[in-house]
Amino acid sequence: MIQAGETLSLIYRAVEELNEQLPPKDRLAAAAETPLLGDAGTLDSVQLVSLIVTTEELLLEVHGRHLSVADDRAFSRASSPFLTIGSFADYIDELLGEEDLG
Amino acid sequence: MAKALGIITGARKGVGRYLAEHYLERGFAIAGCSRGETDLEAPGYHHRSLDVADEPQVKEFFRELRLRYDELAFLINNAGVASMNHVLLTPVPTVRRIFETNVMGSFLFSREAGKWMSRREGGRIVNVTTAATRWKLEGEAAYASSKAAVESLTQILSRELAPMGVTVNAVAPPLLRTDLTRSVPAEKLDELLRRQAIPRFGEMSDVANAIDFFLDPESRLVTGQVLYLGGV
Repeated sequence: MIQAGETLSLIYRAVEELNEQLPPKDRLAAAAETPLLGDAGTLDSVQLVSLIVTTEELLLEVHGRHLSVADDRAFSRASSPFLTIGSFADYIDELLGEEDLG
Repeated sequence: MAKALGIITGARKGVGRYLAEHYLERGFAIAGCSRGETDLEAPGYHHRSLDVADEPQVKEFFRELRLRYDELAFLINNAGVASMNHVLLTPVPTVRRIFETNVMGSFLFSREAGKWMSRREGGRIVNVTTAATRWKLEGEAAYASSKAAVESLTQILSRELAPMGVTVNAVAPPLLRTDLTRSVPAEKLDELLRRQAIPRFGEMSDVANAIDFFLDPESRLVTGQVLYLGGV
């Protein structure tokens, strides 16, 4: 079981990894309200893929959880789970919760 | 220092077995897989019996490997099945089995390898395809079209994984003496050989040589290519 707040910490680690590849002006702040996609977002599609994959990888490495975050459901929602770091974390917690129940 | 790891699918026999031994000799650790068990026992060789199109099995295979190895240097998607038959006589389960192994297997292994490689120093993916995609052979509709899909997959993967430092290429052997050609009549094989610029059977070493080129660190700008051997 992943405790409250751990998912956010994991995404912050993924952000750190991504920031190493970004020019200083494009680096993301490690904060729940940091935008990822949408008008306020600064990531291009490849960078978003990198962030998602790195987060999936950290879930596996740190918690032994194999999760496919970016499935069809994620992209078909009225409100994208990738709008902000916080919404991304909430979506992962939701998927993990479903797995734990299921 | 731990050896660099390479994964080879369909490593129990034929080209896959040859490649496993070839890269073990070159100092790599090799993780092979196939549906059946293997009799290959060598230091640095690990084998897992699995279905390459079974997502949970493939994920578990990668999870185990990642506990043992930090990096994945290369993946060779070699596992493949064929069936020769007239389209009008080909059952859907046969077509499904061919596409599951050849296309879905390559897709799944490439996806899992790409995730791993993208977080390290990049890597190399090589898919094995066939001259049959160019020859448009009667009787090979399912096999050749599945390999055409593998070629498209190769080219699109090369673009999607390029930003992560991963190159993706394919090698298309000419006629080889393998299980896949054993049931083809001799006169048909002669006819096919005559279509090649160099009309002889390919050897396992010819395939390995092409893959050596793709895996060479100097080949970092070589990606999205399908290399047809024998002048097909």
